[in-house]
Amino acid sequence: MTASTLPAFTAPQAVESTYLIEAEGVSKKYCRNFRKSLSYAVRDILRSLFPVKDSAILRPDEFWAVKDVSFTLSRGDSLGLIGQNGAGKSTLLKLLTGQRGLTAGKVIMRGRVVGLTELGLGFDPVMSGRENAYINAAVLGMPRAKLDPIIEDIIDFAGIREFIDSAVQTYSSGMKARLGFSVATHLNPDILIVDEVLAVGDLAFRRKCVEHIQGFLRRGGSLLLVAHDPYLVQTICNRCLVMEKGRLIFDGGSVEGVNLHFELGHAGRLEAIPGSTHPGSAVPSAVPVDTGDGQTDQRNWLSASSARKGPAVSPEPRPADSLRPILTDEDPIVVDRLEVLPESDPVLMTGRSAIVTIFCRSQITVAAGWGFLICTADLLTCIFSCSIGIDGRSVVIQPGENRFRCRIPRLPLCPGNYAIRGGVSDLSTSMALALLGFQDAPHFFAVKGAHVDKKSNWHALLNDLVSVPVEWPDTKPGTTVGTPP
Amino acid sequence: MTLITRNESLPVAVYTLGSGLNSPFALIRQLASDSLRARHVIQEMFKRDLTSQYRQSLLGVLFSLLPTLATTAWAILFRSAHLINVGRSSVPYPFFVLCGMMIWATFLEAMDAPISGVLSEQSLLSKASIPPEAVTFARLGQVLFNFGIKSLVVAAAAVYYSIHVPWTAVLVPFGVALIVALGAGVGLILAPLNFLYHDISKALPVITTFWFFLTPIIFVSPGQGIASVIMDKINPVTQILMATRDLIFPGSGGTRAGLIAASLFALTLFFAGLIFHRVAMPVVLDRANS
Repeated sequence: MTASTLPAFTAPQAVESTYLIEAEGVSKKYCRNFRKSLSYAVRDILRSLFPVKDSAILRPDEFWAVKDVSFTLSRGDSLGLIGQNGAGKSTLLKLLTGQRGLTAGKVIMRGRVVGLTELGLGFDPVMSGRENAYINAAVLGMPRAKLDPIIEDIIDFAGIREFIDSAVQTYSSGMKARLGFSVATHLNPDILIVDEVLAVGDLAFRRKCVEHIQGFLRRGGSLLLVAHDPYLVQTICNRCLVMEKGRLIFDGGSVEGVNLHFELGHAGRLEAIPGSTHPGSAVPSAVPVDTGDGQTDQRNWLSASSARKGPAVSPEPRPADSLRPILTDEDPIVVDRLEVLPESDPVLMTGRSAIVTIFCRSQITVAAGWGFLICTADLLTCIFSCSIGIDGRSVVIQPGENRFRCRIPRLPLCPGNYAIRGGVSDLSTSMALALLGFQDAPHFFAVKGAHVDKKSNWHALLNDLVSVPVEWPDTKPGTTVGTPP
Repeated sequence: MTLITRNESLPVAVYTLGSGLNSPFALIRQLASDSLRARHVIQEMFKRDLTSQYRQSLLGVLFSLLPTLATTAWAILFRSAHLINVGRSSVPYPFFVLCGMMIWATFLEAMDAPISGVLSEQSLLSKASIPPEAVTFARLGQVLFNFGIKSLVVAAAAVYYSIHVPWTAVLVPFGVALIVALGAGVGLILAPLNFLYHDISKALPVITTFWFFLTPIIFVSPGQGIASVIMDKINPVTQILMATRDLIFPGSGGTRAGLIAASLFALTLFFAGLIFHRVAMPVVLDRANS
């Protein structure tokens, strides 16, 4: 625990062949009981004054926040770290950056590390933004002289030039975050460690941050990212670690990792129900969605059988039928599934009819509304939504299995991958009764083009999301484009 | 656009479990190199603390003089009421008290530097990779800065009372270094413990008040009684304070053997404090507010 707190320089060596991060059997224990943790601290200090080492035993109220985590990170890697709250992600990052001492194991970090675990460290409220930028940079390891030539770039990137000489306590939280992020990302580290900081700031700034990180990766930087939005991991990272209860349970592709994360996240409120106890269940068994390119959509976690095909390393593979949310008095209704299927075609196609079906299970009778949102596959943009309930129309949910449908006569979606989220709501209060795709995984589906032509390629080129039927009243057949009449 | 592929050697950091006391020399080397590398942070924190604390103040730096001046004022008052007996002194009484207070206040500030430092900088220490003693060093810089201001007041008083200050006064910084080492040594050890149990900072004002009266600042040792034994033989501040004061005006007493013993004690305590601080802070920071 008393090893170097700052990187120690070593003799030059062959850099390319070595890992930037090597973590081996990293463990860390914490104490649940605060008062007890204080007396443990005194004992630990006394013990560390003597050459005795036996910290692998848990004392009462202690638990492993991180246990036996080993992984490596190579140059250019972009590694996402996901897991439930309290899985040990942030603790692991603190161990990697030396902010916390290890209980066991070893970490080797090669290269300049900048940990974006909190923006604006060392900020003093009465000092100006400019002064604080220097302090913040020094705290992150960059001296004043090296910051001088890039300070103007930092101010520009933060976009707060007008206020840079005002006291930071007059800044909004977003402005502080911008300044802190701008400083941290201009330090040009070998390894950037990002933890949750992207949750602050407005949407435009978030997008800017993500773009900056992607630029950092393109320039050959290495990234370790903890994100509470697993889709960000899926977008930015090429590799993914999944942690559960302090242990590393998955190390592999980010899509598979995110998929496993959702599976586990859902499993938190599941119980094993033997399939045989539900004879005649009206819930159709999960059908892998054909994306039309000859492959099943493996991201559809609900179709548990297809999710299993992913290389995800689940601790204990369970049969598909056992993954069913249970009904309780608090949650009397659950949405089991959302489906988007073509009405008459073999696959979903732009401009053709489609049927959206919601499957829910209930233990009560209630008049309800229901609806769904169709989103881009990264869930950042909602393309359109449809619902009933608010307009007075309703359905009645009965105890047992329920199924409601919505017919879309002409699916306006351009070819591509999309996600659908939905839920049922109480007709009288308009409050959601059960949701799918918000706290857990949405359902993914793919849309194909009705025909291959120039126009549909043009849609694809522009990343169009919807195809809208329009009319052009002023056109004449055969008129050359751009020629005035 | 800079490419991040670098040809120069990469800095390497290794974190493992291991008591630094298994190899104390390696730990001291580590301490030295870390402090050297953290010099920019120390510098920036020193600058920040210095400017930010006076930014919302009109009298600014005068406030660092307040304890010294206030104690001097009431000592003069009490003496004029014959409540304090100092015997004979070669310099006017206000000057005598001012010199003692300059050193005593520096001692107290040095002791407080790590204790309040780790508390107010806990989020920085637990979220950035900076060595824990950097906070103490930054604050000790401020203690020395404040000492500079106090010494200006002492110099002004010397002019006012037309006291002939001998050339030995240029050695005062050595005395100050010793008193700072002593104070910081105590503070470095208490800081992590106080981080866990605030009892220490609660009890400290009471203890330092006793300590103040067991140090020859506003009076000289009576030479008899148990208080005198503590003051002359046990209290390490006494010897360093008297020796430093001797550099400004001769004849306040103190023995060479006592001074050497006290100096060795101060330096040992300072380095022991640094090592203890380094070993204890990571354990303690697990309980930090983060």
